Amino acid sequence: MDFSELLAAASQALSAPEVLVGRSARARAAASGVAPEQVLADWAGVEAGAAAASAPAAEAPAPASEAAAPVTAAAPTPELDVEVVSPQATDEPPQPEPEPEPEPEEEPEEALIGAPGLKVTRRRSLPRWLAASFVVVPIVALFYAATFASGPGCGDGGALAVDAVTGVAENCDGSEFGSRGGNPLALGAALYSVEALPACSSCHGNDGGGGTGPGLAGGSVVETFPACVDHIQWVTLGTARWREEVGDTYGASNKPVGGGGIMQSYDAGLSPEEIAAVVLFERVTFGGQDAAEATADCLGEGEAEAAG
Amino acid sequence: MTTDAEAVDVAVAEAPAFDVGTSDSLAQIHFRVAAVFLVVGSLAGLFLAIQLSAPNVLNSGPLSYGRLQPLFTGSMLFGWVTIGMIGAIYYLLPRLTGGPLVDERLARLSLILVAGGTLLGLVSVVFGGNQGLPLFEFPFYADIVLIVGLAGVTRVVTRTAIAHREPDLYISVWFFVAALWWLLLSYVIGSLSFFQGSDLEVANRFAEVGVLFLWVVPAGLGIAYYLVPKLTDAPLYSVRLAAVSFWAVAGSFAWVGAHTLTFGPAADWLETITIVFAIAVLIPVMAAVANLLLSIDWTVAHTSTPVRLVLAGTAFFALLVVQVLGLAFRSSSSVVQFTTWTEATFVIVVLGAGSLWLIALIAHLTGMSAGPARLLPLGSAALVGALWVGGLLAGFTWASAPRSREFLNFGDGFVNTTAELAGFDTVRWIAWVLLAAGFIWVGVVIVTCRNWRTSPVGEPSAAVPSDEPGAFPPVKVAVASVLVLGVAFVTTVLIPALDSSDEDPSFRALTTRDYEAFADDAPSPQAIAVLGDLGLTPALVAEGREVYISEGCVYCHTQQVRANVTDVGLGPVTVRQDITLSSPALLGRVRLGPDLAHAGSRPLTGDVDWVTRHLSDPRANRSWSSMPSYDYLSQGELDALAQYVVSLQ
Repeated sequence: MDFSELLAAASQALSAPEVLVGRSARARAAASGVAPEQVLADWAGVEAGAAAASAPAAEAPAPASEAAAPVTAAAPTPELDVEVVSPQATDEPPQPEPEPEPEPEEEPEEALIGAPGLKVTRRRSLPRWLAASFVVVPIVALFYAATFASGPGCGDGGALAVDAVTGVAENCDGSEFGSRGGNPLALGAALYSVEALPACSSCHGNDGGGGTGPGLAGGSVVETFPACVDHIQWVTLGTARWREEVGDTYGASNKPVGGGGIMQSYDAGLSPEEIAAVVLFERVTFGGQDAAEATADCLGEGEAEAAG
Repeated sequence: MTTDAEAVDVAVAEAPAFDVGTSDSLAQIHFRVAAVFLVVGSLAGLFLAIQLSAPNVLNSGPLSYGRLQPLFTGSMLFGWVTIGMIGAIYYLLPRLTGGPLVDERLARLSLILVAGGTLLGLVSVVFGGNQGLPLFEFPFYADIVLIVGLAGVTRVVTRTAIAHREPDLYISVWFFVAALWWLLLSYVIGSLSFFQGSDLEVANRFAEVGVLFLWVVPAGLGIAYYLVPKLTDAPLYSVRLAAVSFWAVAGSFAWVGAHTLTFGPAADWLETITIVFAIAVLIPVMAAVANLLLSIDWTVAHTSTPVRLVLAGTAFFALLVVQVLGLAFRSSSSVVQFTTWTEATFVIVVLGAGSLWLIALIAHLTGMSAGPARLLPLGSAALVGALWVGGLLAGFTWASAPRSREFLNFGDGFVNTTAELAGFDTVRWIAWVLLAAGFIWVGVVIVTCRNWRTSPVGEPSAAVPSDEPGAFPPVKVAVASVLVLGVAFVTTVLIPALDSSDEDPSFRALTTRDYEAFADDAPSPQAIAVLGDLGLTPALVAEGREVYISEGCVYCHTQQVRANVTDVGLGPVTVRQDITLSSPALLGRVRLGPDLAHAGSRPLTGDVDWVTRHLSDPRANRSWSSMPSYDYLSQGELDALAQYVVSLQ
């Protein structure tokens, strides 16, 4: 007898639908480790040996995932199986036992609100994860309030200190934001070429070739300012203040102030170190000065050694 | 599959003691009016998105970006969602309370006032009457009409709830009654300028949160809590949990007003309060989302258009946690604040959650098929994605600019920090094509629907046990909701205002930002000296500020420098004392263009002629600029606007 014949026989013997009997048999077989045909044969009261011989023992207990779960909880151990699988003796219908609730929950009382015709439940419990989060969230919030009651400290969440006089944001230790020691030549190069303030390149050209302002390349900047200190003074003051504070000409060749255009004062926009760095960059890159010599000239001996 | 449970549950023999036909037709009129605003708002939103990529499209006077922006937000929020939700409430309330709408005549009159006030306000704003406070741009006469209308609606709804015949009041009634009180009070606080300077800014943001999080969200939740059990013919998972979500909405959202002011001129302790309650926003969101999801039979859900729309709206509601916390926490705020992230709040609440919940009910009543409405969640999600990812990218680039010193976050350097955002602008208009198609289709369905579904009202239930949420009297809900908002107002607006009232204006405020004195031609001697030195005329500066407000410059430019890494290089940090004489302070929320707090102190933007030229032809100087050309302004207005920009020292 093959599976379908056994199934028909078993379902007739038990007077239960074939679908249910088949599913139960597979589940029982999966739980007890015998072939489903064996189980069906037991239930149908047929000779077990005949059934086992005709059925390939290796046939998989097919929809195990679907049916095994409800039975597993109630499935007896293999030793006890012999006693339990005796449908002829007890005439017990082989329905899988009702699945026990994992966590017995009170069945919510259902009611109908008359006017809108809406069903509602009188449920009093919450899922545990939700109840737990309702407790945790306020605790986190209160913890936050207690920890940060006074607002952000400097450095928290990107917060900076603010200079009390100028109102400008600055590093937490009060130094100018982003000021970096290190290589003054690199700082000068960065400052020279930014498009925003000080925007040296917008007038003097990216390569120092000049534009609105005079060219710096080819050594001309060093010819105009043989001494670095004069160059620094010029950048610090700009044309207007130079005329007021120094005179109508500038540089070694006594060029007229304003002859090459208007240059703004960088006194306020840049720190003295930054001005020195830009000047250094211009003298080395465009003026062709030796880097160590120019560094000593513009920044002093100590800096030159550090830079070298 | 929309079940016909309504018809089945109630035998025709138990005919109601009143006729819902009149209130149902009133609800339909509301939906039709709302649909008109929906179409207008969708077209405005689409044009805005196109103009971001192509600034010259349709750019002239009433159709310029800064005027379309309030037309878009106003018609979407007040025209479409507000009037639509009022219609939804008029449809649902007689069924939920078992009694007719109390005073239908007042309800009709209120519709005329709400729609008329909104229309009046929108027309005024488009023709230059903007008042400079985001979401509350309408001039006072439109505000008053709108407020009277909203008060009428609130009265009708509260009285109908109080006169209930059904003893077991479903939780949606709480949401509707409270939401209308919150809308009314928030609109009063937002539109009537009781405050000055930074206090006005704080009050504006309190009111903004009020109309978005305490009106659209709870009214929409009320609809969702009705639709899910109704359409699936299964009870809501837990009415008690819904009651928890109600009190949690009231107890958390009202306090997060200042979440867009982090690092701003408000007091530090106010920021901390905001963050604490922004964390607490998790509770109403989790309670509501869990309740709706646990109620839904998923085998039914995917076959029913209204249920799918409710679920889509609920998904956007869940996103709100990320949105609010991202702006509230100081560390994340230092990245996303002032980026397009900020714009996502409106999309999530109004275009996402609010519209989808409302359309779910409308789909139930019109029997419309999903059709192009499928585009709506897709479009909103694409929009939120573009705003979030674009915002994060912009924020990190801005923060890296001062660190690297290779470029700065203003002037010509601004392009370096926004260059990669052009792609997101493209996503925005594509998303808007989807949204506009979906919304316009919904609008057409509403206007052309001739066969609205209806359901009779059943016999009221027997008495309900007194410890059930349904037995809580609506009058107490109304009082409690007003009290909660009142306490939030006192703690997060009034006390901060009193706290800062004894502070003197800063030198910056007295010299360059004393606009009332400038307008009255009575500037202080310091102001004359400082402005004169800059070559500016005080009266023109004040006039230019009016142009700045009416042209909606505030929608793209901030005037606020924060004490954080991102803003290094933008000049002195903006403190309360700087803006105490400027009402509104025009701090702004988004930097689609550079910050202008100290525009006048910089090269180029410190020169009146250059600014005038830049305003009339932005791409002549900066090819990358997405600013609309203002050559439609008169030469006098342009000059005044340029003087104002240069006066920002």
